[in-house]
Amino acid sequence: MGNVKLAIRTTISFLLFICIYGFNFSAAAESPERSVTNANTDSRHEVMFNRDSDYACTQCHKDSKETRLGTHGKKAVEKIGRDLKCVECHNTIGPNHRESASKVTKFSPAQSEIGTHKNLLDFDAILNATGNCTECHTSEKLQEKTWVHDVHAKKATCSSCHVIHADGEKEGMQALERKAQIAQCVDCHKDFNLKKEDKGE
Amino acid sequence: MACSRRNLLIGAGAVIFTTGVAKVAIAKKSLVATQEDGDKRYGMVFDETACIGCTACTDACRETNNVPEGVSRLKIERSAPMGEHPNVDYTFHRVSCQHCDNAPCVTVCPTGASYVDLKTGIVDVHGDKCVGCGYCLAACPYQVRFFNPETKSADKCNFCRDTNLKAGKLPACVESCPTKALTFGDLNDPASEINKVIASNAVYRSKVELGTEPKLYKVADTKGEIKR
Repeated sequence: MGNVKLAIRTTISFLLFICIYGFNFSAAAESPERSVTNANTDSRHEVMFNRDSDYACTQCHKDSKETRLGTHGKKAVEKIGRDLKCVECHNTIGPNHRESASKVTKFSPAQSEIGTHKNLLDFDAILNATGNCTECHTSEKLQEKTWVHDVHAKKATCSSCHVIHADGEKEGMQALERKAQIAQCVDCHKDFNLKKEDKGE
Repeated sequence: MACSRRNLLIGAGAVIFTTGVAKVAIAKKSLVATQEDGDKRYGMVFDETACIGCTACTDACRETNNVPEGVSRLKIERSAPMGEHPNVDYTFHRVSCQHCDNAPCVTVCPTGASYVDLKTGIVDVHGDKCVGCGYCLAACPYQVRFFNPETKSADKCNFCRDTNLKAGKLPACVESCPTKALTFGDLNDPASEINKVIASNAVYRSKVELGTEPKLYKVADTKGEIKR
């Protein structure tokens, strides 16, 4: 009988050992987790904007945000670390914006030479209009891309060739083949040269 | 005897004298732009002040004359940028055959493949006569000749002689230019458009000191260096 008692005692102590050992494991597994949650609760709460400043704009200009993301989406975030807002480019929105949006900064095709069906602006007005773009797209970077930027710096607005609210880069100059790009040059320059001739200059 | 020995000698002397003088007079004519020999002498004016460097001419030339990729009859060279933003500017230069009256490429050609067409003044190549020795490529002071990888013969601008001119049109580059920087015409016709342009602008030709008598005139740009 002594043997049986000993066997039972050994089994019980063995089970007890296993239980304690097992608890030890789970305690070890839990402890780092706990410290992580502690660290999280300690860090500052991340402040989020309560109100989307684009909300009011997109109520009327419904597709504008999506189309803007096509050209100034991911890349803009990568560069400046946050998403762009409507008013960063379209500033000076007047109080009577709904009645007539005469004050808001718009980006439209315009050139310094008189052409048929083309908006005309003087050099200063064009530089003023492109100023918003050239803040990020600096003249050095633009020159690196192509020399064509240089010669049109004060003679045409960016929108004359580029589509800013576009479905990716499927519109505007970048989307075109080399030959089609040359056709764009020919298009404008032929137009205002003919216009000049008509005037007898 | 009406024809004595003395009279014959005097007569012969008179004939030699007059024909000699006439020959000198004809020879002198080649020094002026206009020749009144009844033949055409096609030339071109490239207005550097009008060129915008769009290279529509280069593409039009390639398409019209089936010039393969990698070689070209006509290039527009762009200068380095001049000035500071927003006043950066460039100058553009046309690099193509100058259709010299006294063409070195024709002189050096051993087979007669390279020739000046006397009816038009156009310097052209008989592709089937060309043996591909490359003398003309080396002799051209303007470095505008190349071997056409398809025909294996020397090739260059011929004012679209086989294509547009044949069809009664202007050369492809002239037709395609949006700013009318190119004027093509007969230098022998005093009333032609090209002679008017030459008369009313300060024009120059490249490397005239070599005596090549090129027929590509250029209206100098108002800025930057003239690339001669």
